[in-house]
Amino acid sequence: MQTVVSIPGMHCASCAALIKDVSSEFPSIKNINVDIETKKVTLEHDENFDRRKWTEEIEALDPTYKIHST
Amino acid sequence: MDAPTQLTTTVHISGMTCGSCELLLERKLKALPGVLHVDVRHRKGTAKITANADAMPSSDRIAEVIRKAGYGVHDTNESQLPNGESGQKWLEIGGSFLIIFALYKLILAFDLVSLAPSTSGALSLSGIFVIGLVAGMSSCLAVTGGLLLALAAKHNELHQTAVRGPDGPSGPERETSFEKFRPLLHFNLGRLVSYFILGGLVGVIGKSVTLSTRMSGFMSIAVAFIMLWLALSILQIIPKGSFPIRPPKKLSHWIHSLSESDHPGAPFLLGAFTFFLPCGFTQSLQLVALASGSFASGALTMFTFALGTLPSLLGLSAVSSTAKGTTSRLFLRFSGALVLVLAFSNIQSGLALTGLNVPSLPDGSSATVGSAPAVNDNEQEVSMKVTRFGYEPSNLTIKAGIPVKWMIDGVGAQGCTSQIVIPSLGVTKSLTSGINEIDFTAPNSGPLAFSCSMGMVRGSFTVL
Repeated sequence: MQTVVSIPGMHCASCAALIKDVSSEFPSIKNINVDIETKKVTLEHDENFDRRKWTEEIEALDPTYKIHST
Repeated sequence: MDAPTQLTTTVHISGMTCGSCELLLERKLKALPGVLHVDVRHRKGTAKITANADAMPSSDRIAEVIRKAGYGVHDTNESQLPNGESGQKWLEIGGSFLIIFALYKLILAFDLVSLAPSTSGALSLSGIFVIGLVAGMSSCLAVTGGLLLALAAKHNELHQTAVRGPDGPSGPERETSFEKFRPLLHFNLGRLVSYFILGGLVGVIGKSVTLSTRMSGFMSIAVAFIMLWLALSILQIIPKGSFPIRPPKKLSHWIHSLSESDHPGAPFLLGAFTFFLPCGFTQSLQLVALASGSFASGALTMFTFALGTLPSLLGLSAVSSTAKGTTSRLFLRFSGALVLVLAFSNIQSGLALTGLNVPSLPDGSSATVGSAPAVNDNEQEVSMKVTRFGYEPSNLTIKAGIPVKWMIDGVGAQGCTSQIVIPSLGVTKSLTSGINEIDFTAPNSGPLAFSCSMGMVRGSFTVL
């Protein structure tokens, strides 16, 4: 399964690394791709993926990270 | 004394640019066994690590984690290095100020401003274009160009530091020249669009949308403060993102996000907003648009004017976006210094417009004092000439309480000097190139300031 969201608050490579790092704690996420140019995050995950929890964790990192569905 | 149960060590880290770098490193470092608390400051470039006294990770281990995350570590003795850099920094900033001063003198010598045709009377579109060209190289460049430079420099700085990412020193997001150029293009686009629309509106409404003298004074000061803050942060005199005077959070947030935002709309808005900036050329052309009485010709007038200012603004944008490496660093220094100078001049102009009598910049020309007025029964007459260099004499003597007949020879009136204001009395008058008469009465004695509509050319009455 694949989920694509956009996070307009991402502005640099360390944002991408940070989001990847947090996502790596979710065993349900198999692969993650963060594109800073388009501000898009592509998640490959299984059916156990808790979208709400992931959103909470990411948005708690920085007030400028707001996750929008695409 | 008890043996401390906790130990704290400070590591100096290079390559951090923002809050997410802090978060990332805090997460990575906290994951080390024994570490209790981590405090990372990207502005200072430090990480304060607190750990159990018996389980403090070795400095090699800490350095390894930091390097793995894509940042650099330097020892405390290595941190002496920035001092040498800072010496060079001040040298470059000082050099920039010298160059700016030399350029200023050069422009004065060549008398570039005097090339401007008089803005009074009917104008052809090509005439308006020429006025735009000249404006783009003179007084409008001081305000609009300053804002543009600040925007460009800020954008460059933001994206240059962001290049070094955790994926290694050469991240994939190094910007091409065009990408750097893009926000500046948006700025100019916003300017063109707003001049077209607002110019048309002025034509239709038949009412000038310029702000009152006092308001545009405050506007100048507000813009100057934005520029001042940007200049200081470009020059890294104050840390990035901090604001020295702490205005209401909402305001500072707004300025901050408007000037630092990467959103294409922000430069566009900033460009559109330049319509309201106090610039003599803009104001006098608004009068032309006003007189036209129709949307089409009003819009066309202002649009053509904005188009005329485009070459120099675009040139500025191009230079600022193609600069790389050392050139880019020197550009930052230079534009920072220039913006700083312009900011101070804007503050001064703004203060003049709000009615305060400010001494003009020491430019070598001493103020000429006019002779005492000839007082008739119920009237006193003083005369003054507007030259290309300012007001002659720039200081006049009048008596309080007696009506003044102020005869102004507008022979050299152009650009901003084609309007004259006495802010504290609310007097505004457009000058034509003949004799203009302004009647007013000074209520009490003391200095009474007057200036051009931008506050850049100043003079004063001494009221007895």
